[in-house]
Amino acid sequence: MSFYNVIIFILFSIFSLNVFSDEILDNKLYEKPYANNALKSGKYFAREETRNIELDEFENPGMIWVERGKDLFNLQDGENNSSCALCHKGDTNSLLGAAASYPKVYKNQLINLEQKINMCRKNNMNLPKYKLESNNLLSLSSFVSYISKGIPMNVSVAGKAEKYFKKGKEIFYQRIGQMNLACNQCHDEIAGSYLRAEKISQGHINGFPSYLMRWEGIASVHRRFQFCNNQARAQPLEIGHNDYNALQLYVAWRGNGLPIETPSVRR
Amino acid sequence: MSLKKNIFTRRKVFNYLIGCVCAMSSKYSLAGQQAGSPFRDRFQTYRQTFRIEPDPEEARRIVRNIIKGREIRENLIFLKAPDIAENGNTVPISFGVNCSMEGQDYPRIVHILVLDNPFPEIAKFYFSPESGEASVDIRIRMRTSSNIIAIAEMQDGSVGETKAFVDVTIGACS
Amino acid sequence: MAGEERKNWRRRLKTPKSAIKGEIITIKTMAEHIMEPGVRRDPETGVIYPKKIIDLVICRFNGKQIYKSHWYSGVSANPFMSFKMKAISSGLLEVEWVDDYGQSSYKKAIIIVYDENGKEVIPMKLDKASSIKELM
Repeated sequence: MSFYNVIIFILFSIFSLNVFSDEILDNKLYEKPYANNALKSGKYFAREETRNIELDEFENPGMIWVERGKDLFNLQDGENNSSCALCHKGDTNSLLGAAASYPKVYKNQLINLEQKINMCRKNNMNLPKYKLESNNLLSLSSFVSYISKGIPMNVSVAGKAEKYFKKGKEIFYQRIGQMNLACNQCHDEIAGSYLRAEKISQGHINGFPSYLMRWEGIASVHRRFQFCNNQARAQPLEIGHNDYNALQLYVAWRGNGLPIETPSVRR
Repeated sequence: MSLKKNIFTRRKVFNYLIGCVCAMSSKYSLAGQQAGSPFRDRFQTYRQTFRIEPDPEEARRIVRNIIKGREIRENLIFLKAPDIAENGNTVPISFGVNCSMEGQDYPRIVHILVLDNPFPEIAKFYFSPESGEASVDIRIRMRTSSNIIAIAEMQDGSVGETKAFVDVTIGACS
Repeated sequence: MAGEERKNWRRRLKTPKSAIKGEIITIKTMAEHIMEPGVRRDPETGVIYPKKIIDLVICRFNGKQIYKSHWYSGVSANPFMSFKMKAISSGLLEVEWVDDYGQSSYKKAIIIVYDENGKEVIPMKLDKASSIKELM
């Protein structure tokens, strides 16, 4: 009797560990929730008046930050009189399409566009870094994204970025907060339906850094993630956290193919 | 009878108890800003009493004072506003006045009011005959679903009024 | 957030460069301003952010005021306003935004107005003979 119990116990423990989970995960790892022709940017889930505000470049309040970013790009500062425009002027160093590939791995670390701008300032221009989520940094980052407006997003998840991609996917499917909600429950499964008078979008970030009406200013992706965490009553991480970078990589890959439309106007 | 002094005198015990009470009460005051502690929660309710609430009687009084008992002309002013506002912070509206803008037939002042805002007056616009057409686009803030009222006072003394209802909603999750 | 010390609050103005005499042109303006209403409170300390709004927007054409607008706390932040003007003669169009602290900023643009023959309509015609007569 006890021998059979032991056998049953061992078999039960082996199968409960689900040792086949890694293989299943690999086959489904690169499966996108939306086919390429079903991708819809957040513009389609906004109301008509908001879409009209975004379309006109003069009426779009986010363009204020883009214009300031252009001035900062050309501003010569510091003892070397260095500016972004001195290097990024010609065709070889052109920034066209640069914003479509972020977040990417640089020197064994996953960074997004804002962190890269800070690195450039410190290493190449000998200027102090901008504070994350400050107006100056957001202006520069929205200007760099605006240069690539219309170019489809193209982040790479091969090679060194694979482990960050896996981490980002894990965070996306992870239930968080007092409400026990995961990102995929709303943005993958019920996109297009209403959640208290707000249409749920597919959750793409091709319009970021975007002008959000609730904060009446340009916000970066990380600040939007913080807000999502707050809404699920979870503890938000700080801006520039590695987990948010990994999640941004996954969400950007999820929307690969959508044209960049910085600065977009969202609620 | 022992001649040994008692360690626990009444003074020592009393002072010790006073010290304990002080230490425990100071811990509560230092833990002020953490959620769930009585100090912070009492402050939250104190804060609520100072939220400025819209006063409907005041709003109606303001409208009456602008119109001043004059007769309202039909179809003088039209107001275009969205049915449902995406966000209460930015509601794009536009109005236009049907008049010829010649002589005395132009709007001297146009008032825009939102009755359920804490401060109902939104904006006032002053026109002149060189304006060509009295139509303006503007973006306003609304706290809750309510009527937007546009009142046009013409140079010759007549008054036109119109209303539009806009729904302001709460979005997901919050 | 509220009360930011910045020196580069932007103002934008969009006007058509030229117009035909009698045509009604649209002027679009946008200001970058926080438009703090004076009722919002800091979530941590409960302190009210002080009221700071744009009070007055004046549009002048060739020095003469053609349009004025008083704003209160109900206008949204980064306010956009567009209004109309009748093109009578060429000239300088200025839009001035005045704060409730008295600070003012302005943007100007030049509009050239042509009449039906394609000639430019200049703002003033000084006839020497007539002006002397008026003085006398």
